[in-house]
Amino acid sequence: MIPLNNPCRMAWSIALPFVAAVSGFVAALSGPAAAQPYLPDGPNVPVISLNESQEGAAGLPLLPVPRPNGWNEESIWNMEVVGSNDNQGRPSSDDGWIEDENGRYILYMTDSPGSGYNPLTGKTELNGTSLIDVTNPRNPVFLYHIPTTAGSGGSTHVAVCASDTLHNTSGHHWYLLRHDGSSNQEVWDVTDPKNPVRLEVLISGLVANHHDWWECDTGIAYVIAQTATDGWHETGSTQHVYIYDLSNPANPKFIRQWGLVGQQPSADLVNGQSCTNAPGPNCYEGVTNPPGGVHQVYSAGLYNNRVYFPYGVDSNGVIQVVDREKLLNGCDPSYNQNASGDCANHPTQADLLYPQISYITLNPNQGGHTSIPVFGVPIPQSQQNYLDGKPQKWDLLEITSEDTTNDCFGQPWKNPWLLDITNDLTPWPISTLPIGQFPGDFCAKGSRFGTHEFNRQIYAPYYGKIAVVAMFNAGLQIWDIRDPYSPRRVAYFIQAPNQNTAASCGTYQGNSNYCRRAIFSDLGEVDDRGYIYNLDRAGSGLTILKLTGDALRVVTAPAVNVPSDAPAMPMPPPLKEQ
Amino acid sequence: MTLKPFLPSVALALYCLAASAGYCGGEAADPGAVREFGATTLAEVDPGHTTKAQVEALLGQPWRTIVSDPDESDPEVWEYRGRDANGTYLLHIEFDDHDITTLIVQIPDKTGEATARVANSPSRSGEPEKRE
Repeated sequence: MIPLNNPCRMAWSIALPFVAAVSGFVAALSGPAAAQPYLPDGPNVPVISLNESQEGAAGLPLLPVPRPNGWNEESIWNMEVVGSNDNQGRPSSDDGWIEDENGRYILYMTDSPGSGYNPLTGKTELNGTSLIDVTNPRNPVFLYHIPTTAGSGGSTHVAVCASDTLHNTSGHHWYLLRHDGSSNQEVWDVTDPKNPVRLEVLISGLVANHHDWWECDTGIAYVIAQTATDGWHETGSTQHVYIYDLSNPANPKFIRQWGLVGQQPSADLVNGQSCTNAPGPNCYEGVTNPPGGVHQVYSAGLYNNRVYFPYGVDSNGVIQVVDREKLLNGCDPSYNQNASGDCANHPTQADLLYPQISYITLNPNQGGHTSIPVFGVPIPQSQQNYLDGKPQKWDLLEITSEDTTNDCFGQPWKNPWLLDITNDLTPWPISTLPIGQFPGDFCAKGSRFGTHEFNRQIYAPYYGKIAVVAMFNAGLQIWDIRDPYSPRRVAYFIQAPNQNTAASCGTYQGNSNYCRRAIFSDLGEVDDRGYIYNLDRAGSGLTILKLTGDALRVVTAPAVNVPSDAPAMPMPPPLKEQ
Repeated sequence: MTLKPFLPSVALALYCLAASAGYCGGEAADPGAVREFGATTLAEVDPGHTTKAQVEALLGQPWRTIVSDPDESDPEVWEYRGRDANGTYLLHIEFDDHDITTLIVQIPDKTGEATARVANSPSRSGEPEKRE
């Protein structure tokens, strides 16, 4: 409320939000900044300040979501396009990473299997990793394409670390962890982004791989892979986790393999029963025997000491919470005297249970594709009068189950959702971030509609406030999650098809042979300047965006203070023994 | 005046022009350049029968290919950029696991949509396409 009886305070009340908004905007969109100390470059996460009233979303004005335009038009709301690059027409994939390299920003864009012509080399190359200089987001410059060599190519995932943070390296280098088609997991020295050099092959002879995670401060790398001979078992995506110490990328040290109970080589695939219904030495976690393969990893690092694993991708999912220290040391007999003799490669059920904190089995219609933690989110409606009277801050896990069929065929409506993991022994869903097929007619727009991915990189002003969700042909959908019980959609960007957009063919209005160009937003990632990157899997290229209007105000609104004289609930007396 | 003394220079100039356009020398021509395939040539691509090798012999190297991951079930796709009297278009061809054409469609850049020619059987419609 503006204090009308006090001119000085009135002026300040009017000016403060403006000053805060302007300074926030400048902070949000100026740079360059020093390398983030946040995950995965360091063990920290940003401290989240509450910048809305204790009424939360209920106290905000209604924000009508405008109807998207037709399938062949761009739709944009509370966002602005800053720049773009065609990525040589190569379809992107699940992942991308924007690294601040001493003020030079390089986007490592992953490319799906296939091939395309590289005008920089004059050759057709198997798709791999695109290195794009995005220092000037208005004019992204394609620097280099690291092709792949095996099979149909594709390098769908990346992780990047600098020698400044990796503790067993020297000099000033940047390293890229990626896979070469389905064959290798490998490390490249990308210090000169126009002349990357392959350093090391971590694992060869692979049959599957996926979304790696690399802790840059410790060097621990969680590599999703599988060989034909490692003996692990999964339903669907046949992959599990190899963990390495990559603090010196030129000298990788293997730590252990990891998966869900029921995936280990000795698992009983014939007589095993659900660990929920029939816990025992031969049980499996989740609802399928063996459980679905892991899809990605997110380590919360040294301080939070947790690693999150989603299994199952699109169905029969499980989300697993693991004690990081016990995971990394659990096969060392000097740390865990009960570790089995071949714990690192052929763990027993007990070896897998030792670091596990908990798991939650999803509805079989939902798979575990993504699980990304957000720590310390102030709960607006619980700033007083609850529990011990202290303002409540909770930990959340952002979850998606991937939609994997075109035209919504044969799969249920899928939405991202939030789990409360404040007590991570018992994760509990508290809200969804729903996007329906209408308005937008997304199920009849070609290609896929539905959830795919949250942003993974941390930009402090967005942390715990803004979530970027890639929804395939519904583009990027931006959510205000400050009140996690009532997420609010505040912006979107749905790219228009362009001349590089691949065709998608299916049935439309009775025509079973109908084809059209259909966009395919695979990922919306953020950098440490606040820009948002839309990566398109239909070959439509890279689009760099920024928030505007109400979406920007979610970030720039000034912090609010909880009344210090709020009455605290008295603590209940301790229970007495009978 | 005879042109004969200038022929080597003219030939060299033509060669350099061609080389700069990517039509000779060590590098391949840009397969992403817009090409005029001709309706007769395109009609020779017969879904259900024409093989991948035959498509390449007819149309040349594709501008790009799109392949699903090993555990996915999408068809392999070849795409070309073409031009005819109606303007530029995307030529999109799908193959089955045996490298046989299952679908071909010319999608005009102006409209972004078109109906495909497909193999008579099995029908594509109604099949779930599962990807990650």
